[in-house]
Amino acid sequence: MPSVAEPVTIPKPDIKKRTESDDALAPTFYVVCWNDPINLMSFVTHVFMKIFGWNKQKAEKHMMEVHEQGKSVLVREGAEKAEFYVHQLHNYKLHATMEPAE
Amino acid sequence: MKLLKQDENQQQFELMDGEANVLLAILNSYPLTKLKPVKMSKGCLGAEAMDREFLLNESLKTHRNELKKVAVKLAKENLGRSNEAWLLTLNPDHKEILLQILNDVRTGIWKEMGEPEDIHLKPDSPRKQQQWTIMNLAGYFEEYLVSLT
Repeated sequence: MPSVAEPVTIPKPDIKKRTESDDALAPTFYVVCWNDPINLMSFVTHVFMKIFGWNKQKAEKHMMEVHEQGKSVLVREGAEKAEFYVHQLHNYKLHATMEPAE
Repeated sequence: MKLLKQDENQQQFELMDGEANVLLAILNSYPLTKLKPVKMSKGCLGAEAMDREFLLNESLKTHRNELKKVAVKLAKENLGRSNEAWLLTLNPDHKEILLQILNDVRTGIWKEMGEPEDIHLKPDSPRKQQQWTIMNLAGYFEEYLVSLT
């Protein structure tokens, strides 16, 4: 009598669904604007308002940080959006970079 | 340069002969300086970050070419003589582009001058003096336009 093999249970593949918490673990970047002696303070304020949609008070606060402390962290974003903002700031010739947020 | 009238769709400025001639010269000779590569990050660069930096610099070249086209168009279509006065008419998009052009001229010249810390100090060499003058004239228009936003 042939022996009947016991059914083998194949373990389910460990497929993780993409969740919001995974997105939260994706690397984020600070968009930083650096001071220079050439860009006018009023122009920098204008650019922040234009690009980030900030009101004048918030834009001036960040502009003053750039002016007095040498830099200001403008936003913390995922890679794609941070890159977009850096491009926009450079289109206006502001000195901006994206730095990994730890 | 003074604001003559404005509504939500456009602003109209009156310029003196000298102002109009300078603005026309800036627009028609834009970009005036060579584009220098920029950094995407102050930190160390991995392969991905280097790709981003390459894309940024390519994008800036493309953007400058677009600005150049608009600069010529602005000089031709938006700045003209009407009776006794020079009139500059700008919608909000044109104004943003003009601001980018003017600031590109300012920062480009500043970089070519060696990025001096004191931008008010007149340089020694005649060539740099000429650049310095254009830099300040571009700043004159830029400051006035920003003050009206």
